[in-house]
Amino acid sequence: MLRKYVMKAPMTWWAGGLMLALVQIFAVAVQKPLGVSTQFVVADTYALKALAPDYVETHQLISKEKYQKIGYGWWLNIGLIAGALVAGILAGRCRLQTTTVWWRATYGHSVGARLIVGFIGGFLILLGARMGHGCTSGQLASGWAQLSLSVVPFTIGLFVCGMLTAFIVYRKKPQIEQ
Amino acid sequence: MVSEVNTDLLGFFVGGLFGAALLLSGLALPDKIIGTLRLKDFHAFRVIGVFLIVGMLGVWFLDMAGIAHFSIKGANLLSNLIGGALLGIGFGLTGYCPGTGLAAAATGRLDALVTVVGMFFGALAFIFLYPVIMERIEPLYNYGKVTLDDVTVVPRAVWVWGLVVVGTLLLWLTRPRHAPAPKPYETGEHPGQTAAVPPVEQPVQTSLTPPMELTVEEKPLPQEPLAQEFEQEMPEDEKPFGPDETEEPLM
Repeated sequence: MLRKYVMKAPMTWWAGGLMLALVQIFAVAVQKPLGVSTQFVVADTYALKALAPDYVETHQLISKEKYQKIGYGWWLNIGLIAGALVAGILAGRCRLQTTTVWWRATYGHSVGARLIVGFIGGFLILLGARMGHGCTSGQLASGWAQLSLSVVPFTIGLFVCGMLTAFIVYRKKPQIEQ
Repeated sequence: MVSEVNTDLLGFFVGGLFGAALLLSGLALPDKIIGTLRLKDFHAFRVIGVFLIVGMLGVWFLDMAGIAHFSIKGANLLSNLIGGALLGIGFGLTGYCPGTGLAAAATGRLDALVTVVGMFFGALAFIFLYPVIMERIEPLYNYGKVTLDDVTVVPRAVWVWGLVVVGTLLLWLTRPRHAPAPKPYETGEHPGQTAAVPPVEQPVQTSLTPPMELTVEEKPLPQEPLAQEFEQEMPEDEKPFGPDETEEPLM
């Protein structure tokens, strides 16, 4: 049965935010600020290495050691997947789903369209993340934690375009559990 | 070699905590992200607010204690802005970002899995476009790897406490207001009920008003049975709906 309303998050807002902040502080204390998106380029570099090794070696960016080494950042992402899976099972939030409540409110049960939009969105997300020098973790969260100058234009671009897109795409509001 | 293995394990551990926190806080729930971008459900906004405020304070304290490992990103303002904008469009389309996309895919969301596949292609496009585009826009408005207190005369303490105040104000402005109003009116899921609610009260009230009895001359015989029918039948059928639905928004 497809849910018609947006469920509460497992944790309240302040507890969830606090947990994320403590993870960030711990990460900065032991290694470096959190970041996710670089590893997508690392994975692609490995794939390209197998297909076109010459291209990789002469490329201005991915010939750098950072993109050819599976290390801390890579294992952070593997850990992220495992941690989300375990937490999802414990919180009872692991379910096979193809669309979201907000999507169904506007577009009904159009799974194919959701997947196509999801693919295009994913493409833009990583292209944008790398152009902006980080994603919501590595740039937004870690940037504000360190007060880097780069986070200011990034945040403006992210929320202005994010809100405009969401207002255009998701026109109908579902019920939201408070 | 031992230290490298330890670093990998450390990465896995930090990632595990991060993934669990993303899921439990609700940031890995795309409906919560879209709700925030649509300005209808501020849960995700408030989580991010606490994340950034407390993270900023904690990292600042670590920095003062001399145990912070910083990794400042380059401030190439134009590419930061364009990158943020592209990421924002993807964020608004899907409700995912790289970290939450991985977390959501892990909990069985197939749309998130497709989004993650799209991300691999986005990264590939970045690799191919890098020599063409990035070499040109990276030098524009390039300030290097600097922080806000580097480029302004304002010291770090003022930036941190100032942003804490701004963030707290935003949290206060987006505080949850317990108004259950959106249920019938905004979703339109029960059009029958919403249409019936407003007219119910009017006949009940007008039938009870005294002016009807004052106009003695205007009382012909055929009107009396009609008035009786209304008084007897209307309240029984529709009164139970009336007070329930109309009182809710007032709470």
